[in-house]
Amino acid sequence: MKRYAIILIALFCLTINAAPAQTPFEVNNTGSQAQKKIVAADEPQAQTGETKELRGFFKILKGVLDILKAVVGGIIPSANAAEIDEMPIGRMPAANGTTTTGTRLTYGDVTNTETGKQTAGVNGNSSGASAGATTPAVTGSKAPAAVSPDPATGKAVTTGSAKFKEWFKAACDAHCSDWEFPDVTNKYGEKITREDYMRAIIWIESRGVHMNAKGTLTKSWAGAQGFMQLMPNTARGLKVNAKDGAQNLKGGAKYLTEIFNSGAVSKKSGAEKLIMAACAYNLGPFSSSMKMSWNDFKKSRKMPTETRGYGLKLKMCLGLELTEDERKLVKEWLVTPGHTVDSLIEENYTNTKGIGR
Amino acid sequence: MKYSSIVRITLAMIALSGVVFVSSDSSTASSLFEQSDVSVSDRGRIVLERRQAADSIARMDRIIIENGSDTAELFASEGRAIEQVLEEDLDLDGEKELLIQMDLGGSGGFKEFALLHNKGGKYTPIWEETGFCAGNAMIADRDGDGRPNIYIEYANTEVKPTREETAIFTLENGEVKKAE
Repeated sequence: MKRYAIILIALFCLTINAAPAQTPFEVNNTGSQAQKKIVAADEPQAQTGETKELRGFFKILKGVLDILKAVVGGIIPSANAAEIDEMPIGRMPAANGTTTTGTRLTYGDVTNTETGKQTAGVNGNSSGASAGATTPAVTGSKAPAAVSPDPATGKAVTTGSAKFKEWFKAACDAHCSDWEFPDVTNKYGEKITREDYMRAIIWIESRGVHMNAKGTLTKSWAGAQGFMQLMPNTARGLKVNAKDGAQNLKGGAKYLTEIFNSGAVSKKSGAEKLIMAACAYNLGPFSSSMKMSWNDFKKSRKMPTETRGYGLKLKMCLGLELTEDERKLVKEWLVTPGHTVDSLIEENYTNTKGIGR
Repeated sequence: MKYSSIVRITLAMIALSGVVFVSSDSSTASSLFEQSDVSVSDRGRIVLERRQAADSIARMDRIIIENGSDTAELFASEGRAIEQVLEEDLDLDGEKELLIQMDLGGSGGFKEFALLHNKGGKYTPIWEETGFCAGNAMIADRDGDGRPNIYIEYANTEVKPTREETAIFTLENGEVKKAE
């Protein structure tokens, strides 16, 4: 009874403040395409007295919700992406089990304008050595909420399968802590975790499908298999059976240990290391081209477009800011009819974030 | 039967099957490696050694030339897996070049190719090419001009749908050029 009373009080508080609940973001409906524009209001130059007040209010609200969460226990923590969708300003579970503030941006009516301060993206004008430098996180997040994968049907083995969370955890527990992983914060102010990185690779490689409903293994032209698209020889070297979902994830995580800890990528740092590690995952960690900086790599016509595109996808999946020239490359290589660069960024980010939730 | 006898018989069987495993002192590599001949000439025996690094997926493959008791390393794979070595006189100077095809192990199935130019028995790396999904190299004179070319058959994943293509390279004046 006591619990329900507390929830009712909390809901009342949220209801009476429903309008301000949207205001960490200014909504601009005057865009040329008549789309709502989300503009981060937490940029120092964009702060007004009113937004400062609102931020203060939300800090208090966040505190109240934290207390409620602690009191109510098993009710709020079970919130999944579907429940989060209902929250104007929700608390989004992060990969490491902590929570970050976030709001859901919905396709069609909102364009993520990426006006947030660049926190970890690679600057187009910077040198390879400085490109990966991590800058302090922007406080307050405008990250879109995660999209949960569809439950697997038939013989399908996907990130929506009942066992996936267990496999994912086992793979990360076994190998992710071994990675020499850089400390990088994305444009939403979130620290990128090893689990986020695993999710990104799974999404890019297979869109979370290990086996389809007919029981056919996801296989590339070259023969790469499963969730993390391990090549047969690589799987053999990693001593895993790539056809088995759980082992495929373990093999991928172990492979990333090799990439992060040895070869040319291990000598890189910051966002540069994250991006080039993804390129190494696609191209091969011991390719002589892995010595290149991301800035040189993405421009090199000698490098496969697929691998250069892979680096861009990784940035989108992890919420790293794309530079202007990178947006042009995304438009040229990756955007399909009916999509925009921004919708693609959001699709990659939200789907990645939803894996294993 | 004693344990040592079993080991001896096993090693003999492996040797007879055409693959020779040799002990290695290196602490960073696995204790066994595989050797196969690329060619034998009066200059010596060119050998491909394949070796898996210990506790790693990295390959420590290399190409060596042996002449009597002398051994010299011509090429080291530095983590990549050497899939095949082709020997052919590409510039018609009477000396055979070495074309090396390596598997990179990445999810894209890409390969790396290197060419060692041979001048007076001295091998110099003059070309390296990365890419070519599921690529396979061969050397032939398909156009009948009397000069052999490098042909790399691969899957072009940059077009939809993916299609099989062939890239052609020629060696001229010590430089490898891609044919249009």
